[in-house]
Order: sequence, then structure tokens, then C-alpha cells
Amino acid sequence: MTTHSLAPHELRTTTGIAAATTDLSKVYGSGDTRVVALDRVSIAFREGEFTAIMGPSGCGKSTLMHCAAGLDSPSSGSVCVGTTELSTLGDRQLTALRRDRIGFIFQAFNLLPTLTALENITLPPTIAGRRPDQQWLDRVISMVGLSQRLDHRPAQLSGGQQQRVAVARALASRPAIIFGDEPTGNLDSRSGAEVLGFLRDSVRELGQTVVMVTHDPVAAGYADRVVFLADGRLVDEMAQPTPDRVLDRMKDFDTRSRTS
Amino acid sequence: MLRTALRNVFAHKARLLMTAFAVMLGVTFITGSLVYGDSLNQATTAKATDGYERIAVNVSADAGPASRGRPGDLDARTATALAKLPGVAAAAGRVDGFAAVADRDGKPLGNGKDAQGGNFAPAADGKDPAYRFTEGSGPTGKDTIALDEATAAKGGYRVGDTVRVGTNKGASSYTLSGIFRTDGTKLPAGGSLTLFAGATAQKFFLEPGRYKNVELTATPGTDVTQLLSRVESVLPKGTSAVTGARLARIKANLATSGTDTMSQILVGFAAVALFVATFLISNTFTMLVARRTRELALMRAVGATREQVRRILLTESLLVGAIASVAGLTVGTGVAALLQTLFADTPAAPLVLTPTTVIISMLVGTLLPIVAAWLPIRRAVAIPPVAALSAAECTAPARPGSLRTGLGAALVLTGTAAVVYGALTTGKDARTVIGLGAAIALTGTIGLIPLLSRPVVTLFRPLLTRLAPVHGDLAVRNTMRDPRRTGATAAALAIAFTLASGLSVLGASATQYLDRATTHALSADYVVRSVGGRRMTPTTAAPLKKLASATYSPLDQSTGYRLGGSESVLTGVDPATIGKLLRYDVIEGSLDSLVQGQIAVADFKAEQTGWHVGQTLPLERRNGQRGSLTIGAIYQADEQSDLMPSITAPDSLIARYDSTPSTAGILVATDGGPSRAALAGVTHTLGDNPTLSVLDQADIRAQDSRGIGDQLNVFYALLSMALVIAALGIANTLAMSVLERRKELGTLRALGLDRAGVTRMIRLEALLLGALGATLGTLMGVFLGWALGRTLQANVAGYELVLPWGRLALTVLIALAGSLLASFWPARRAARVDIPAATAAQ
Repeated sequence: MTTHSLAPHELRTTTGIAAATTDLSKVYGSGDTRVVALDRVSIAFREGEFTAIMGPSGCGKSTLMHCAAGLDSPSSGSVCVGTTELSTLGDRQLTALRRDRIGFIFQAFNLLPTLTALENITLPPTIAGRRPDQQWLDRVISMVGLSQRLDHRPAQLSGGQQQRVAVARALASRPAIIFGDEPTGNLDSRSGAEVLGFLRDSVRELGQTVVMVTHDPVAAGYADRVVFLADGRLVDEMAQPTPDRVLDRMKDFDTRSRTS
Repeated sequence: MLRTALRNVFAHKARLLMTAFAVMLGVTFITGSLVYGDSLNQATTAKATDGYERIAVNVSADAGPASRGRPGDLDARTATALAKLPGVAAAAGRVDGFAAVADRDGKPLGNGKDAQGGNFAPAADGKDPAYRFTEGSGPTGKDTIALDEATAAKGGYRVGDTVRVGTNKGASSYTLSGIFRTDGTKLPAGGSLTLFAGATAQKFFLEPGRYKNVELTATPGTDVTQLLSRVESVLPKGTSAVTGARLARIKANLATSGTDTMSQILVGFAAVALFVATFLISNTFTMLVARRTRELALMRAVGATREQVRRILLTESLLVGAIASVAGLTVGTGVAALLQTLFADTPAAPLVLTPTTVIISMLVGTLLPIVAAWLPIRRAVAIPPVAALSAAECTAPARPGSLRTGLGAALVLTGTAAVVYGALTTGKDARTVIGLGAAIALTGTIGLIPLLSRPVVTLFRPLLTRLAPVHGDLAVRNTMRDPRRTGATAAALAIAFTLASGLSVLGASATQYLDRATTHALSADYVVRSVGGRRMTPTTAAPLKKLASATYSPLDQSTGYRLGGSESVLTGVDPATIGKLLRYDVIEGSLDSLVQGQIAVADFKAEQTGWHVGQTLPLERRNGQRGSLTIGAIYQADEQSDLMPSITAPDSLIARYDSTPSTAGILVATDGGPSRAALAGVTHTLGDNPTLSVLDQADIRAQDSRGIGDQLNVFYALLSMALVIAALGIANTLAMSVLERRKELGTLRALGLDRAGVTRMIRLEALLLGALGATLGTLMGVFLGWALGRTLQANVAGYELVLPWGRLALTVLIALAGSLLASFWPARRAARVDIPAATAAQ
């Protein structure tokens, strides 16, 4: 199965970088209350790759993602999405960049309760004043299996279904990169597996780039690469992870941080 | 429990701020009204009684049948006798009457109503105790006068100038000998006072050698009661004496009756403001309770009883009310001071804060939140403890309560049916039925607003989605998310609007009615009227004969006729010219019949009596004269018009029966139409008499509608307070909504809606709320205006419903502008939402 699904991935000769950070630091507060959330983190997210960011609570993994996605501004260092350097952008340009080139999946789904599933999915292109690409939209919708529920409002959907709407929303505008902030954190294991499967399929079949923050080794097992963060620093990286290997590495961190 | 409540109040102080502010505004309004009323009352009393302490005893000729039409029996001899009584320092004989002062252009100065004339009565020392001269001295010769300070300033007169003054005995020029200050006993606020030398004044106002009253000043240390009995012992028949103190009390009672109505109106508007505030408060508490569902459920889960939860919430609202009341009391006193400067013609006076005001304001301010929070609290108490454990978000849109909807619909139907029934039947009780029906229907509509919000908002949807495809659509959906909240917010605005537009409709209808009643009939360029109710006689108009460029006709009213058995007033006109001066819509016959000595009759009069053209009626006058008159024409006329006569007769005919008819006005048309020169010519020909005013059509229209306009403006100013509260309600609802939707707003921002887009969305929501309230309010107001107008129609013929589109549109625009302003802060908050924090929110 692994070789089969790897095939389309290898067909795409994608050596480009979807997003990268260079010496990225983020400091909150000052003086006694000064907290260094990110300490000169340099990392590149390659196109067509599914990356998981892991680490213990408070290691800065969410901050890294927020900065890389243009939701938060770094204290120093730089972030590039494609070839665009984010620090040069004003709020309006940053907003446009998020809208056109970045997709988001949140832990708490974050669907607009007043909009139907379909309206939620097509929200980013609607905001941009564009018509969504109907063929692509149909493909995304059928992939996440929502064809029958497009007229439902979020309140009428289960958690898993809501997150599938969110995945479709992230994919709908064909972004350069999708960021997921613990996308399975609010889901039971079956729904979680479904969502992770969609994300992996989108990478393998559609060539999408996905970066996901998680603390769940099982979720990380779906990724092509796992990067480990501790105390705001990039400490390790693992290619072709499996849940067991990830778990071992995480345990290793725990003991190391305790002994150090 | 108190500590929990206190802690809650402080924990939610930002959210309770709006509630507190609304209560404060309401209390401010009440305190303001009461303090202003009390202060005005005191000031008016002070003003009315000002100067009376100077008078120890006042002796006056008795009013009543015995002395009607003839001067009193007070003469100089009596005055001298009074002056010689022990304890009397001075006895000033007084006369007074009408005296109008002209400005340099010959037009009367001041409002004409309080154009007073009096006499300068110097005591032994050459001074009159009632007047303090700031320039020059009192008038002593027959060609000199003195003027009060304000009038002299208004006319720009200095001592030595020539001033033209008119009295009922004619106008002439005088030399200004002095300018004086005086007190309220002599000079009413806004009026003018001209002092003549004693003999001149007596000639003008009474009869040489006689006084209307004698004011006695006492020597220091004199007992007034004893003085009074001494005075009474020497009084001639037909005169009586009262002490100055008693006179002051009588004056004060007379003066304050007007101010009481004013403060009643203010309190009425305060009640409206409070009613509007109730919606705001209720809304805030509902939202607070919704947000605190889990917290309250947790309290229940850990063992708090329903009663305790209720008590916590009640204490909270009580605390908010009490704090806001104190603030409102303070601000309200300030507002009263502001009102004093606003209504500049009311006397400024120290502010009066009575204990009653404090108690009423505090009670209302404290109880209002409790009443307003009653329903939300009931809902809060019903929260089951298990709600603490459920993580479910409350995203399902709330539906308007079915009980409320049913009740509202029933009220609207009943009310509307009553109004329609009342409007169709013209019975005696129609008024009451319409008024009651309108009130019921309006109450019902307020109940129905949540239900109505959906269709009304949907009405605006195509426009909004075209203007702003994304934000517009989102704004519409957000507005409809909680119809109950939207409804309550809009209801506050709608109430203020109902009153404003209802008043506009009534005002416009009444103005147009009056306008038409007077000016429709008028084709003359000028109408000459007397200032201050002085009688004009046919001789007043006579000089106009000399003005070749003018065509004129007097309106000589002659009373006391029985024509064909009906009490009638005949109005004599110049049959040759009247057709050019008044627009007669002749229904039957011809106006030319006037020249042949026949009369023309108004349609309403003909209808009442059943007269017809060609009929000859027997005439009988009160003094026994007899004759007969033939009807030559019937014309259309408004019964309320003060120009169109009910019976028009040639002046020669009137002269035969009545040598002293009262000229109600003189109609003048000039060759070449109205112009400055024509006006000057007419004024000059009439002798530059300040007691006559020459009015053009615009003046007449302005005179008729000014009163209504002024009153409406005061009402609008008062209603603006209710509008401010309603706008606060919008700000409050939006602020709450922004707080509740933090996650959504963060998501929208993350997904690519820029700050401007978020701002626009919130603004559109505010505009929608404003439009909803304004639309419903305007509709209800027009309905109310129509219904109330219907009740008038029965009494006032010719009253028609006028929709002042311009004014209605303007008020709607103001509402929209207010809503936009209200959205400023919430929109800012929404645009600045911290995306990472907001999107991660549970």
C-alpha cells in the first residue's frame, strides 16, 4: 500500500520550498516576565510534503505555525511563503496572502455557524470576490465525502463532519500550503483518522503541502516528516515516521529534559 | 451572596457599563426634568413676585360689573390722602395700558403682546421707587418718554433720540428722556415698557386725573397689617386694598401654572427614555446570562439553590441600578442647567434639588434594572446544573418565543381592528377607540418585532449583497442569528422613532392645515393687523385711499345679527376690490352681487342653515334694527380660516347698521406686487403706526406655523435622548455580539477577510439594526399620526394627513448615522481581534 500511494508523489519533481523560516524568534513580555517562545528557528517546508511539528506543551510549536502562516508577527528573523518575505507585508497584503495562498484547519473547526457547509467551504474565494473552480471543488467535496451534507449548517453536523468541511475549505482555494493546528485534537480516534487520511491523500494525490502541529504520535505517523521542538528550539527531525518511533523519541525528550 | 454579586459586578464591569449607562441616562433625564421644573418654578415665582416686597399695600379700583367700561374711582385726591397716612412713605398712583414702541423703520419692537405703557410717578424726592434710571431721568413733559433698558437697546435708542410710540389713542413721536431698569411687577419678561409723564399716561390709558391703582410704600418699621386697616378706613367706595405680599402670592400661582405643564411634558419624555432604556437593560442581562450559563450552572452544580442564583443576579442588577442612579442624579442636575441655557427665554435661576427629586430618581433608577432583568433572571434560574458539564456551543439560532408572538399578533389585530372601526364610524367615542386601538397595536408590534426582523432584514438583503457581496451577506445572517436580541435592540429605536415620526406627521398635517386655512384664500400682497389686540376701525384704513398704487379692502366685522333666525357675524368688504384680494371659490351665484347690495355666504354656513342663492332673509340686530338681505353667492370657505368671512357683505351695507364695526384686518394689493418699496409705502401711508403691523404672505404663514414648529423642535430635542439610548443599545448589542463571535471573527481574519472588511461587516450590521428600527418606527409613527389625525378630523374640517417625506427621510438618515456611530467601537474591536488567540478559543 505504501509503495502504491507513494507513486504519484514521486511523479511530481517538487524540490521547491513552500514556506521557510530563518532565525525566527518570538519573545513575549519583557524583563522578569520575558518568555522566549521561539529561539532562532530555521526550518523549510518542502512542496508536496506533509510535515508534523511535535513537542511538549509550551515548546512553541503553535507559535511557529502562527508565525509561518502570517497570523502572528515574529520578534526577529524572517518568514517566507513561496518567495514572499512576510515581514515586508502590511496587514492588507498579509490578509490577501493568507486568503490566496494559505489554508487553515483549526482544532475547534472554526466554521461560521450562519453559513452552510458549502458556503463555509467556498468562503475564502468568496471573500476574495472570485468564483471557486467548480471542477476542483467537486473533486475536493467528493474526496471528503460531503456531497450529501452541503446544505447543512455546522450545528447540524458532527465534529468529524465539521472538520471535514474545514479540510475541504482549506483545500478549496488550492493554497500553496495548509497549516493545521492540532486538527484532530477535538475528534474521536475514528474521525481523527479520517481527517488525517484526507490530509495525507491531498499531499499524495493532489500534491498539496501540509504542515500540522500535533502532540499525538499516531497523527504524526501520517506525516512524511516530523520535526521536534523543545523550549522554542528545533531539536530533531525524523523522516518517514511511524507512531512507535515518534513515541520513543518523545519519551526520550521527556527523560532528557528531566536529566538535563 | 452579596460578595459573589459584588465580585460579579466588577468582573463584568465592561459589559455592565452599557446597562449602567442606560440607567444613568434614564435617571439623568428624570432628574433633569424634575430639577429643571422645580428650578423654573422657583425662578418663575421669584420673577413673578419680584418687586412686590417694595409695595406694602396696593389700592386698586374694583374690577367687576360695577366699574366695567368706566374708570375707577381712584383720583389724585385719594392718592394724596393715602400718602398722608402715618407709616406711608410714598403713594404712587399708577395707570397702564398698551403702548408699542417702533424701531427706526417704524416696525413694532418686541413681541407685541407685552408692549406696556405706564406713568412715571415721582415721589417727593423726584424719584419713582419702581424705576431706577441708568441714563437720563423720568419723563415730565407731554412730549417725553422713558424706555426700559432692553427695549432701548433693541431699538438702538439713546437719551435725546426721537422715538415713535403708538397707543390705542394713536401714534406720535416723543423725545427719549431716560432709560431705566425695573422689576417684574412692571415689565413682563420679553416685553417693553414705555413711561409717560403722569398726565399723558392718564389721558392715554384711563381718564385725566384718575388712577388704576395706587402703590403705597411703607416707612421702615411699619406693621403692614395695621397699615392695611388704616388704609381701608379712608378708601372710597369701589376700591379695595391688599398687601403686597398677598398680591405676590396671587401672581406666583398664576405664573407657575404654565411651568407645571412644561415639567409634566419633560417627565413624560423621561418616561419614554426609561421605557427605551428598559429594552437595552433587558438585552444586556439576557446576553450576560447567556454568556454565564456555564458559570451559573456550575454554581448550581456545587450546591447553590435556585433562590440563591436568583438573589445573586437580583443583587447585581440592584447594585448596577444604584450606582447608575447616583451618577444619573449628578449628571441630571447638570442637564437641568443645560436646559436652562437651551430655553434661553426662561429665567436663569439657582438649581433646585428637592428631596422628592432625589427619592424619585433613586427609586426609578434602582427598580428599573430589576424590572428589566426580571425575564433574563427567570431564564437564568431555569439553567439546569448539567449545563455546566456539557461542552456544546450554543450555536443554534434562537427563535422568537411563540407565546410572545401569539400575544403580539393578537394585540396588533385587536388594535388595528379598533382603529379601523374608530376611523370608519364617526361616533362620539371614535377618538377614544382610535387612541386605545393605536396604543394596543403599537404594544403588539413591539412584541412582534423579533418575528418581523426576519422579513424586514430580508428586504434589505438584495441591496446589501449587491453592495458588499461577502460582508453584506454575513451581516444579514448575523443580524438574523438571534431575532430576539435584534428585535429588542431595534424595538428601542422603533419606539423613539414612532414618537418622532408620529409627531412629524401630526406637525406637518397641522401646519399644512393652518397654512391652507389662512393663505389659500389670500391673494392680497399684505394684510394689516393690529399689534397686541388693539381695535382697528374703518377709519384706520382710510389713509390708504391716498395711495394710488394700492387696492385695499377692510374686513369690518359687525356682530349681533340674527339673519333668518341664525346668529350671524357680517363682514363688510369693499365690493369693488375684494375679488382681487381674497380668493373666493364661488360655488353658486356670482360675487358681483355684492356690488348690488346682496351678500355672499360661506358653504359651511349655508349648509348649517339650508340657505340658497336668491333667498331673501329677514335681518334683526340686537339693538332693534330690522331689514332684509338677499343671498347673491355661496362660496367655499374653511370654518377655521381667520380671513375668509362666513358672511361677506358690502361695507356700505354694514355702515347702515353699525357705525363702529371692528376691523379685523386690512387687505392690501399693490401694483407690481410685494416689494420693499410697496411695503414702505403702505406702512408710511398708514402713519408709521407701531401698533399696526403690515404682514406679507410669508409673515402670515410664519406666524401661523411658528408655534407648531417651535413646539415640535422642543419635542425632537427631548426625543433625541431616547434616540441616544437606542443608539447605545445598538452599540451594546454589537459589542456583545463581537465578544461572542471572537472565534468567528478570528477565523474570518485568518481565512482572508482584511480589517476593513471586518469593520465594514460590523458597520453593515449596525446599519441593518438601525434600518430595522427606523423602518418599523416610521411605519408605526405614520400609523399613529394617521390615527390621531383621524380623531382630530371629526372636530377640524379640512384637516388632512400630510406625510412630511423630507423630515421622515431625514430622521431615518439620522438613525442610520447614529447606528454607524454606535458601531464605531465594536467594529474597531472586531477588526483588531488577535487572530491566533481568537481562533484557538473554545
